[in-house]
Amino acid sequence: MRRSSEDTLETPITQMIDIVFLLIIFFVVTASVDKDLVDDTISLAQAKNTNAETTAKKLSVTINMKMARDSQGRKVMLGGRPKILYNIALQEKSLDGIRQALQTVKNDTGNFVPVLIRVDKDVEYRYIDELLAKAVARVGFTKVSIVAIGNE
Amino acid sequence: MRTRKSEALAVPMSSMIDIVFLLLIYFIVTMEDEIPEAHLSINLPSPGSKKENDSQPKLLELQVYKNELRLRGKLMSYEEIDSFFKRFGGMDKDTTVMVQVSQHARAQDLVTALDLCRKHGFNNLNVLSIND
Repeated sequence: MRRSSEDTLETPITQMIDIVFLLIIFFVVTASVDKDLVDDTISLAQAKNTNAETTAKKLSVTINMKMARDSQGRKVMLGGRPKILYNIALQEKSLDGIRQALQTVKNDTGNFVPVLIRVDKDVEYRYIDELLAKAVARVGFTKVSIVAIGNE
Repeated sequence: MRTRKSEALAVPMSSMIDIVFLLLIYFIVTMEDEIPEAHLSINLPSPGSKKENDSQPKLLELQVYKNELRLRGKLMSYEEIDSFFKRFGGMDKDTTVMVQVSQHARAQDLVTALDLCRKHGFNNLNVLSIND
């Protein structure tokens, strides 16, 4: 009888550690969702004299912009011009879709929200200008920043 | 009996090490080098009309073409513009720099120009496009 009572008093350390670690893994995985929304396929331009942002902007709209490429890395052409892909938080959008998304942001929070443009370094300015004219400026956003790789 | 009690109190080291190593591998695999991102702010042309009583702002014109920069229309290398800005180090930092960008310039060319302006403390950067 005595032996049995001793057995029941033991704390199940192994199982407890198992559950604690599972909980830690769950929180770590769910906490890194925001980080995964960054389009890391974009090759940003270098700004060697500008310091990198140390704190993330609390409220901003990030538009990712890159050239569509085929499996061999060649530019995809569409109607005599390279096909440009736009996305916000990895949600692919057309130029009109970007304009609508910005309009929604403007209606919800106003046009003081900074717009960050993460653009592939090889994209010609005419396409950035098109984005600015047909979506960003058209909706009324004036605080615009071009994102580049800065100094750490 | 005594032996059994001491066995029950021992911390299961081998299973704990297993889990710790699994966690370590998870963190190593998911670890990413964070890219240091710099934000180069620009002003877009305002659709509003110019006010009558506006004083003439100090302007500096920088043209950006594919792989080349021009200061007030004069073709100059990056180093030449850099030393020009350096020589005029006492220039008013409120000077507006009109960055006129060619349609064929790449994003890297624009960033190089904006970065050069920021290096010398010019933060009032207006970006316009050149229809070429």
